Amino acid sequence: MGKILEVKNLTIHIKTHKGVVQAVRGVDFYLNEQETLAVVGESGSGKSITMKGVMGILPKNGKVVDGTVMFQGNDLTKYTERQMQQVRGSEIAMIFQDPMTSLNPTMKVGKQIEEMLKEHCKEMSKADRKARAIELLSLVGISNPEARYDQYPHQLSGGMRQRVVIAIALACDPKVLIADEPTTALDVTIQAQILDLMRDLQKKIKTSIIIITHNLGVVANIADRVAVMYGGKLVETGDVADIFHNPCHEYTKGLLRSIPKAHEKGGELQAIPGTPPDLMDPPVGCPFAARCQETMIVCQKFMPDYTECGKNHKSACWMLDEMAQEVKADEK
Amino acid sequence: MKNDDKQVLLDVKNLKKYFDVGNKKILKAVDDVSLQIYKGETLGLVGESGCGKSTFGRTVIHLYEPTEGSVTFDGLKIDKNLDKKQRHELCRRMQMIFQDPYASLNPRRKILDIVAEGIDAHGLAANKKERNDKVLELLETVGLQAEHADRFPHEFSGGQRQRVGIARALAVDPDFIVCDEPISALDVSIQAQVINLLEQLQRERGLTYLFIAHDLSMVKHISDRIGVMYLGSLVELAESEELFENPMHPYTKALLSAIPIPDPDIEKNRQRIMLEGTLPNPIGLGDECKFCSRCPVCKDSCHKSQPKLVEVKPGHFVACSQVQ
Repeated sequence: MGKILEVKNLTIHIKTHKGVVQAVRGVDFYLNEQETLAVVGESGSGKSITMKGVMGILPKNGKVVDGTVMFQGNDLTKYTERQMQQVRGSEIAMIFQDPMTSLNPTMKVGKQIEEMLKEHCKEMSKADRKARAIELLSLVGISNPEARYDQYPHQLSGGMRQRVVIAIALACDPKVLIADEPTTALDVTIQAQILDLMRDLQKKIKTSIIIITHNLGVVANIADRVAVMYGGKLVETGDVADIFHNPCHEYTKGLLRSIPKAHEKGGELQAIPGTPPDLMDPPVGCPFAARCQETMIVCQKFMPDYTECGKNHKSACWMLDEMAQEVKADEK
Repeated sequence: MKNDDKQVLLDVKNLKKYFDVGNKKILKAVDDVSLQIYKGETLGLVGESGCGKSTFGRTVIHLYEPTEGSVTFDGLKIDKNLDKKQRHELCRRMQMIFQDPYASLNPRRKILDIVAEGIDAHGLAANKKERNDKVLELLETVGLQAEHADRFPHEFSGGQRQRVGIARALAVDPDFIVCDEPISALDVSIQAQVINLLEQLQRERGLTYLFIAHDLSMVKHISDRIGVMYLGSLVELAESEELFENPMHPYTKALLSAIPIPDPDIEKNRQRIMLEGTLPNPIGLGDECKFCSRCPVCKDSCHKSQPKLVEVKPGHFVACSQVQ
């Protein structure tokens, strides 16, 4: 399996009236072919903005100030808007959180799928497009696709709408699918259906998926690898089993401790005290230092480098340094 | 809690709340729900969106006037015969924490005034100093600092705002709090903070909670008993351990199997009970069991009448004709 997408040192700043928010501060990650990478983190940790930077759909006040996004040997950050339009939708597609706002309420769902085909597959005839749209609707598990083709979004339930959004994203067989909290707005029973659908489709059309979520259950369900973000930095990445069973970063550990275990009852939840850092004025050291149980003086002054914790598993935490135990003992 | 020292705080009988949606159609948001909430316990209420759990919570504390049925709070039946003083007192004793900490705080008022609103309305403080001291004490209780009192809601994060919402509910020293999805708008690491705070307050003040949520693992953690709602009806009610280990209603089974468990080893080999389709339109449902359209074990007899909630085991109630 080769790397289909590789992001290096991605740095994104967002200008606001109060000042510059350093939303993403040097993020490195890659995506292998046909794998699912889950990106987890607090709201405001920069996970959505990172993906918007990859897609070139940052808000007007946002800018990629440094870094590269290598996709099939080309750097997407160097692309013009026109070139990006060719990539977006046909090569890399995105699904958004709220299926109500990502569909056009005044347009039949079939037409919305065709719109994508019209843009990217110009050689298709009108009849072909309609056939393909109906095929896509049935692919995403919508019953009676011919009738649904002529319906408007408000006539569909939330789960159905999200299926339509997935159908649009898959219309041109994209190599990479970026799903930004695709199930957060849905009920658990519908969430299970959508996750199953995504897993099925991945096998069928051989796409690679990046899923942004804050639900660790969803991560365990669908991901092959996990990237944990905190305060605009990538603090840990690894295979899903390593992240859950052998977390190395203190934030990942805290996150896993703070969710109630389904098979245990009682006792106090181990919450992480405090709140995430303000990225208008990000801390110079480790972004998690202010909330960390194990924090040392060095944590507040210097950002740690990545340490290999195992195969494919690395984490940026001073506790992994070989001198950490000694220093901690000294500080006490 | 032992069975014999259970004291009923809130007794809900055949509660119905119908909304007139025009065109002579009626939406039965809460349809004949009966349950009891004991003093000092936490009753969790779960279900898909649109199942009527929030409407139930609001109707119980009479934010909505019930269409039919009765709510008895601590021996006092809530109806039109109550005088103004009694109503006022009930308002004090029953409070609510809302889901969205961004929408439930007035952005133009200071935290001090938001929290003190109940104190003022009920005249619980003799003078301004006592009032302000009370607010500062409350802020400390919920883990905020005194200097926060003079700030406005926009200066706070989601978790802090939810703490303000909790402080406001506590200000009038209530016995019963309806928590309507108090954590679903918060980050995972902050959710645990708020849950711990709610549990600590319950221990210290003997509060009773009705905890409405759709995150089942959190509900299990905080609740003594859990009720499952489907399309306005209570379909199962049991102690939380019992409900998770021995779910009986086919809907509860499907709901529990749909929760993704945060452990990749378990997730990889899990067999799910998949529910077909989505919630049917709640307007104009017939006499059949409401779950028929999605039920994997539906029989002909299910189409004839709606099953009643029956106690199949001590403390475990189910409304399904296939189980009873």
